Formats: sequence, C-alpha cells, structure tokens
Amino acid sequence: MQDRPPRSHSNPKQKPYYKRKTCRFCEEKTLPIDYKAPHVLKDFITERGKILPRRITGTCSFHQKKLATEIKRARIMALIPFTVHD
Amino acid sequence: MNLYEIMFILNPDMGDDEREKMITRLKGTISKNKGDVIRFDDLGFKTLTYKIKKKSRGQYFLMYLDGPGSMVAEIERFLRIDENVIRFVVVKLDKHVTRESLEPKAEPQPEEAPAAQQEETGA
Repeated sequence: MQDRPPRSHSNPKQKPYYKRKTCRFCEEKTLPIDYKAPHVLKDFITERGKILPRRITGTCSFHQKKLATEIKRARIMALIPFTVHD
Repeated sequence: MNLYEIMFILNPDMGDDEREKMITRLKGTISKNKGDVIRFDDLGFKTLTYKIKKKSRGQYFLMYLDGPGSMVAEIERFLRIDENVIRFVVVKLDKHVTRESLEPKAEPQPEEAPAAQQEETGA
C-alpha cells in the first residue's frame, strides 16, 4: 500500500488505511544481520522463538533470506532459543 | 584461499590448562593444514538459552581464519572429536570481505561491519 489519505468510514468494504511497513535493514544500513547480534534478531522472532513472516515485519525478500539463515545459526549457538516452553 | 569465521562453545567446567592445551592443538591443526589465524577472540562466559549436554553456561570463542577449503574439514573433525566442545559453527565469509578488515584493532567491536555479509555454513 502506498501512503494514501485515510478513506471515509462510510463504506465498510473499503480497505482500511494503514502505514506502509518498510524493511529495517534497507532503512538502516548499519544494522547488522548477524548471528552474533542476537539483540537484533530478537525483534524478528515471536516470543515462542519462531521466525516472524515478512508480512508482519515488512522485511524485504533479500534481507529476510539472510535473516532466516542468521537466526538459524544463532539458534545453533544457543544465543536465541529454538522454542520457548511454558 | 578463503576467509572463514569459526565460533565455538567450550565446556565451562574445563580447567585453564586443559583449555590452553586444546586451543594450541586447534591452532596446530590449522597451521598443519596451511591455514592462518587472523584473529582469535575470547568472548567469555555466556548463559546458553537452552541446556546443551546438561550445561547451562558456556565459554564462547570466535576466530577468523584464512585457508583452503580442505582445512575446514580437518577443523570440523577436530572440533567434533573433542568432548569439551559443546557447539561450533563455521561460516565462509563473503568474497568482498578483506583480510585487513578482520585484523584485531584497538576498538572492542570491529567484527560488526564485515560480519553482516556472509554466505554458506558448515555444521
């Protein structure tokens, strides 16, 4: 969605206005995608430890691929959890 | 010759002598296989997010190497045999990462910049 002015509330079938999500790694070039930086990776996993999909975080395809491999490496090195149990 | 990054976790209950011996043997394996240690960092003790081999803590080490691909297989074999190695990860660094950017500097965190660009993993 492009940034558009909010639509009128009279027609409920119209799509609601929302802010466009942007890829954080494209915006902030210095932000590392690195298994050694678990504090960054933590923003892209759920509280159960699952990898968040692109549609939620807004990460671009290029960076999402890198992110996924780095999250998996960080899990191997016990820096972030595979799962979080009750 | 390629650049590699290796991170490994050692048993926290290991004695200092034992650890030193293990590290010198690891470095020996590297030099024997025509590898070169660019940087060796002790990241200290960290709490593991989940228990491995009934341990909840580990000693983290990070090293950067320059060497042929055949060296990696030998290092992996060595790390797999040693019982004090809890986990390890080998990452082949991207072609445009230079050796100079990995060399130790005065600042405590120079690894951030090159580490963002990686490809391919072992282990």
